[in-house]
Amino acid sequence: MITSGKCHGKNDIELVKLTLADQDYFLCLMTKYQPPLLRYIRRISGFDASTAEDILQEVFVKVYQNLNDFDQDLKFSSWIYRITHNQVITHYRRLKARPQHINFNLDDDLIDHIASDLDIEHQVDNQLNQEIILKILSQLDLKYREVLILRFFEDKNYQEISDILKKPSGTIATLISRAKKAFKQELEKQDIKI
Amino acid sequence: MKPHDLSRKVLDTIKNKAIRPTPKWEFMLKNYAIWTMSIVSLVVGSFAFAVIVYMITNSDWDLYQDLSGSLLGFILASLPYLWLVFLILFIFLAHYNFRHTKTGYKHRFYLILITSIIVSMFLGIFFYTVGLGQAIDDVFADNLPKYHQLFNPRARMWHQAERGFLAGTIISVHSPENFQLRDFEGNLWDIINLKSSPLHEIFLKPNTPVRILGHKIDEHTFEVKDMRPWRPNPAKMLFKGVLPPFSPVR
Repeated sequence: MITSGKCHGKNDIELVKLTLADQDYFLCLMTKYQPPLLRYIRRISGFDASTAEDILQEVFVKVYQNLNDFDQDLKFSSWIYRITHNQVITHYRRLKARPQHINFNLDDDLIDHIASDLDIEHQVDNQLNQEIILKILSQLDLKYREVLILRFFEDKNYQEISDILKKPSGTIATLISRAKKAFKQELEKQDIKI
Repeated sequence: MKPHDLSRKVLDTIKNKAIRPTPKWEFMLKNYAIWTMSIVSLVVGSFAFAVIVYMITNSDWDLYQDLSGSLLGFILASLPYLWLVFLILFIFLAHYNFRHTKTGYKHRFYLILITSIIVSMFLGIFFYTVGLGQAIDDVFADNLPKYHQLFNPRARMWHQAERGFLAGTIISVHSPENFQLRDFEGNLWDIINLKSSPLHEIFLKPNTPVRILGHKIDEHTFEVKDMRPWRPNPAKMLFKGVLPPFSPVR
């Protein structure tokens, strides 16, 4: 069994190659991506922790099965986020449901970042702001919510979002711009200031 | 579940179920298949475009007033709509397949669509210039029953015996002045060609499709005023500069 020491200092591409030769190395990739992917699943879906873990297990098995399809022109993180995103959508379809409630925490820096990027004047009460942002996000269309989450919460750039969602970069720019607009409109509609 | 627990659980599942990464060649095969389908769709679309160009350029522009009354009416009546539908269908198929290649998503929808249209047009014009437009039309006409009625608006225009337009395939030639013709609807006609000329004799052979200007004598008899081969080639090569266009009926 691989110990964490053996994973140390190796980049994703090296770990992919090692995994193809020795499946135990897959543990390195899984351990690295488990926390961010679990957060991502919960953020876009609002699923509870147990469901998110079930989805992530399916994601990891899929990633392992498709390792030979990994295109090194992409970042490995974009590729694994793409598979995760698709798996969440598949799960929605299986349930024939749409996400309703989103449960995650926003720290103060993140609230500042969102408010500044959306050009929103914001108050000091970050606890209140957090609730507002979550409420507005949960009311947005999935196509808007997923780009906002990838951009602001997962800190992905336009190219990475394009690779994850398999949409042209120009479309991503348009989607983000529309998502920001929809977010601000929702704030104004509800007469909320953050 | 702790991070390490979940990851170990997945690794155990992979080992217990003996899951293996899918071989690289399978992904390559799939990718090549999508590219092939994309290119094939584009080429088939170009064939359709070649036939459209062939049909439009070989419409009877010299007789547009007699056949349809007005230029716009003639253009609308001459457009090969079913081939246009094929062209659009295959351009969309090419576009759909290209979008599903590994990097297809990086390009804007309309850019791929415009590129597909432009490539189809250029390839189509090339295929037309090497004679593929006519060849495809001929193969379909010879092998597909009802092809003329469904795919070739020109055939419909020449199925107006009452108005002096008749086209079909020569069945038998008794003499240059008298032969039998089966029109594209399958009706048999006795053709009287009192204005027979030596030029007519060059294409007056069984199995040759012809178009005839003249007038209907009765339900099965038609008199020739002038006639030409239905297909421009090889007739076009034979008669270029020899046979003038039809004189207007009126």
